[in-house]
Amino acid sequence: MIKNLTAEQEALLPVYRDKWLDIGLSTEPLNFEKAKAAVCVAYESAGLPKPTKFYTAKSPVDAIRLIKNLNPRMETTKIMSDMAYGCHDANWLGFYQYFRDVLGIKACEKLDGLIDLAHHCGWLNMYYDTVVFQDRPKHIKLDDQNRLHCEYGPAILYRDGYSVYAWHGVTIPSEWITNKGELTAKIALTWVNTEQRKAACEIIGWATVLRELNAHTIDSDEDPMIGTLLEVDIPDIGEEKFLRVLCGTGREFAIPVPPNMKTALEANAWTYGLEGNLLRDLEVRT
Amino acid sequence: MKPVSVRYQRYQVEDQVWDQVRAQVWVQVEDQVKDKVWCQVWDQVGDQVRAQVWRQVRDQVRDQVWR
Repeated sequence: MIKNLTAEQEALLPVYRDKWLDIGLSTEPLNFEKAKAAVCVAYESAGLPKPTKFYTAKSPVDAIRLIKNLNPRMETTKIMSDMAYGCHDANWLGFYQYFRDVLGIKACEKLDGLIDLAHHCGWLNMYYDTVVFQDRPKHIKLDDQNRLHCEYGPAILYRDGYSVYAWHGVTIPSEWITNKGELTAKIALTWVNTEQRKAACEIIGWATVLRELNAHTIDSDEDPMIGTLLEVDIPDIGEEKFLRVLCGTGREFAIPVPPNMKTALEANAWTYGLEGNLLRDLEVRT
Repeated sequence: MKPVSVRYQRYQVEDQVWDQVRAQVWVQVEDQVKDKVWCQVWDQVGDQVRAQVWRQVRDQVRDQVWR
C-alpha cells in the first residue's frame, strides 16, 4: 500500500498535469495510422476482437452524419451517447498514467491503448467491427484564465468549419462576433440566459449599454480617472451599480461594482482591493 | 453497428466497455494507494486537466452538438 508520495514523485505531478493539458488542448490533425493501432490495443485490453473497418470524420457533427450514412437507423442521441472522447479524456487518462508510470501500478496498463489513442485523435465512436475517428479541433482559443474565449472568431474551430463561439467561458451565438454591429443594448439586456446577457453587454461595451439604459448618477468624482458611480435597472436582474471611468489611455470603461458602494472613489478603490482614502493617496495608478 | 457496450445488471443501464475497464483499474489502484495519495494525484493532475479540457472544451462542444 502506497501511503505517501516521495518528493521526487510529488515533483512529477505538475509535469503530468502539463503534459495532459497539452494532449487535451492539442490541435494537431488526426494521426489515422497511430490512432488505428492504439484503438486495436484498447479493444484487445477489453477482451474484444479487433475492429476491421475504420472511418474518419472532421468534427462531431461530421461523425454523426457519417454514422447515419453507415446505419440510417442510428439516432443522433444514441450516436452522441456512444461517443468516447479521445484527447478530451485527458483528465482521467493522465491521472491513471501517473499511477502507471510514477507509482508502477501495473493494473493501469489495461488503459495503454486508450492512453495512446488520446495522443492521436479527437472524439470517436467504437462499434464491434467499426471505429469512426474524429479529427481534433483546428484551433482552441482561451483567455488568460484558460476559459474558452475569442473576440474576433470562433473559440473552437474544426477543420470542416464546425465552430463554437465563446466569451470568457460562455458559449454565445456566432452572430454576436461575426455581426457585432447588429448586437444592440436592447437585445443584450433582454436576453433570457443571464450569463450570455452579461457576455453580450461586455461585447457591446458596458459604457455603451449604460448610455442606452439611462443610468442615473449616484456620485461623480471631480477626477475623471476616479469616475462616476451609476445605478441602472436591468430587466430581470434588478438594480446594479457600475463605475464609469477613464483608463490611462483615455478609453471609457464601465465596471460592475458591488451594490453597497456609495461613492465613485469607494467603487474605484474596490477594483484595486483598497479602501477609498488609500486610493486617493496613491500617486501612480495603472 | 453495435456499440461496444455492457449492461450493468445492477443499474440496468448500458455503458461503454471502456467504462467497465476503467472501473476495474479504479478498484485495483484504490487497493494499492491510500486515499490521501489518490486525492493528491486527482487534485493536482486529474481535476486540473478536467477544469480546462473537459469542462471548457469537451462540455462546450458537446452542449452545442446536443442543441
